[in-house]
Amino acid sequence: MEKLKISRDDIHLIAENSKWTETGANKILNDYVYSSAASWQRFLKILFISLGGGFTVSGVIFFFAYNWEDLDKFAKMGIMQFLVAASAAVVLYPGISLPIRQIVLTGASLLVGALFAVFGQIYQTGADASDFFLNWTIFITVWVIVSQFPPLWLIFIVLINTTWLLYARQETGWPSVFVYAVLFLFDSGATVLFHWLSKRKKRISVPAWFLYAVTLAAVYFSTAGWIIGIWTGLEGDIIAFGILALSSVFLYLLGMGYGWKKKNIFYPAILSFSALLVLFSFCAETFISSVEGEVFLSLFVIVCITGMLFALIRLQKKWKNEKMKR
Amino acid sequence: MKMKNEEHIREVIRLIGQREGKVFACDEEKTVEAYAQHYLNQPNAIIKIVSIAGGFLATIAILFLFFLSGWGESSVLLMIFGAIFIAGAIGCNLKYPDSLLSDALSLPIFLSGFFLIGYACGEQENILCMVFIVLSLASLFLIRTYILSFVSVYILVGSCLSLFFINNAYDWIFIHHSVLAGIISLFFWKEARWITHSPNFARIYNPIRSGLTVSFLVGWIATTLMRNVSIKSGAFLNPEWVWISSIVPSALILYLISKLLQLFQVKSIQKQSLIYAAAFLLLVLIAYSPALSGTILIILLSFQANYKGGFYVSILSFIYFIIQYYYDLHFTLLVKSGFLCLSGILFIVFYLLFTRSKLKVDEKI
Repeated sequence: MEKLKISRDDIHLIAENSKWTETGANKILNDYVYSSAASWQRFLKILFISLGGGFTVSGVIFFFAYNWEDLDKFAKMGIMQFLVAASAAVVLYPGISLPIRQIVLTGASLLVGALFAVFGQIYQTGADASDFFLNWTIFITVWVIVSQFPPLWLIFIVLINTTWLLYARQETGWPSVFVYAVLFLFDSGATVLFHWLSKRKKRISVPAWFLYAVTLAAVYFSTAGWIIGIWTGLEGDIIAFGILALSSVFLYLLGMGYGWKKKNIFYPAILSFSALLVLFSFCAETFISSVEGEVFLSLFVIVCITGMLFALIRLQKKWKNEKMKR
Repeated sequence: MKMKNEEHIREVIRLIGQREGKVFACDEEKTVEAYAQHYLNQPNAIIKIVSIAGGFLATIAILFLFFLSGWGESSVLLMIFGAIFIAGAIGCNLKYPDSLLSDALSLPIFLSGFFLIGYACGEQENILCMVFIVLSLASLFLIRTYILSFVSVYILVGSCLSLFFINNAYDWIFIHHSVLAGIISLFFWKEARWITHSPNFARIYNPIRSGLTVSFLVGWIATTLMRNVSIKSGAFLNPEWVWISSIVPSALILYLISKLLQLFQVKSIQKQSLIYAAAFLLLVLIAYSPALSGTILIILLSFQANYKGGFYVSILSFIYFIIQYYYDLHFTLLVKSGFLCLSGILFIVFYLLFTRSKLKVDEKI
């Protein structure tokens, strides 16, 4: 007969409602919850090899860092290029499992960035940070597409966002609303694209955490854009704000509908929280001048948050029930 | 599905009853009901996060209202309202112990209460810390839900640590960290004793454990940050004595290793002494970064107790402290690289020892 699975919560719940000896509870915990000798073996194996490898490699890196100033510039470039080439070669080596290849490829992509950084440091190209990120992004594009490795996709999206932000900040005087609007559109576009990919192309598996991360970035930029737009009012970039407003309303409704259909509480929760923040800043901007306005604002905030939490928790319970009945 | 849940918990109760015999007495109906409630009430992680974020906003709004009304001038009024808020939050908590909503909403009121009392204490920081310690300890005895217990533990430990910071007693901080490491280990190892003590204790075991773990790790982050700052400003801190903080965690780690050796049934004295020697050497190498020994202790404790949250958090902290080690100005990069290489090689030795000899132990089992 299969061994019954007792969870820690089960044990705590039973302990709460019964008379139980310490030794008895301890035995049950040991047998069903605490890690067994076999799990310890697996864990310690992984722990020792990663710590051993990680520490030794770090030691070597620290050693190079210590001597870095004294190295010849060709030696520095040579080392960096060798590292990139070597890791790329490892990826192509036959007989290695796929996850390890993907991790090494990710490492290689990060090393490309290090390579460019060293280049910029040696030659003092005076390149702006945005140039550096742009080059880095372009040069790992092929690897990102080929890897089918979500963490690498995430790094790539972060790089693109960083490139744009730095470019907008350093090179141009574009208003923040415009900058954030573009980022919001790009990140939401990425979210939609990956959702579509996971539905249509069965070969590519897009994990939930990845979609959540990109969605969060998109929502962050739209919230920031809205708040800045509200506070800069008519002096800001009205066209960009208009585009942001229209597209965000459309995409938020889309997101809400999607969450509703899939009974996934993430989208309603994040989107309503963002909308609430925007609403609060709108009220703050309008009412900040008068005392009565401030009192109203504080009460309004408390009531709205309470209401939103209440609604979300009710909704989640309802969906959880429906999912269990299926 | 509901039937399946009920059946599961009844089976578990039956199994325990079989094993324990007459000593075990369970209120089965109450347990089943609580189980169904608990299962239904399981909030999504997202909901928890949004609740806490919303709670913070609400706290700011409440405090804003309070200070707006001009009541912030009088210390007495501040203290009274602070006490009312805290009492109110605990009362709400006692009345609705199962509702996530009441837990999430009483949090801002609870925190505002502490903030008001803290504000009333003003400049007298020592008194502030001690008042906080007393209040959070008292709250801990009354509170029954997760978020509030967690926050109380956090305030308790944080206030203790702040006492050291405020009085510039950096040389004595090892007391705090050592005692806390001891308490945490005891708490992890005596789980059965705690949960069978009383129903309330069983309820708050998880949040207290999380609170202790998080405040321990955050305390270390704060200590190392403050240390770097105070070294630059030339304050009291004597960097040579840093390793004292490593003594207790290292001793606990060695104790844990002894329990592990029992688990793996390593009988030969030769192997045992080899392992202890290697472990001791490793701990000595790490001693100058006591945050690392403390974090490793938590990693091992969490894994032993199968406490996934603590495990992942401590691994992240471990990575953070390793990165921070890079910036530690006390040693040159050369020395640090030496330490790292030596420790790395030791770990690889452990790995080889482990894969070669433990497998033999496995075969015997």
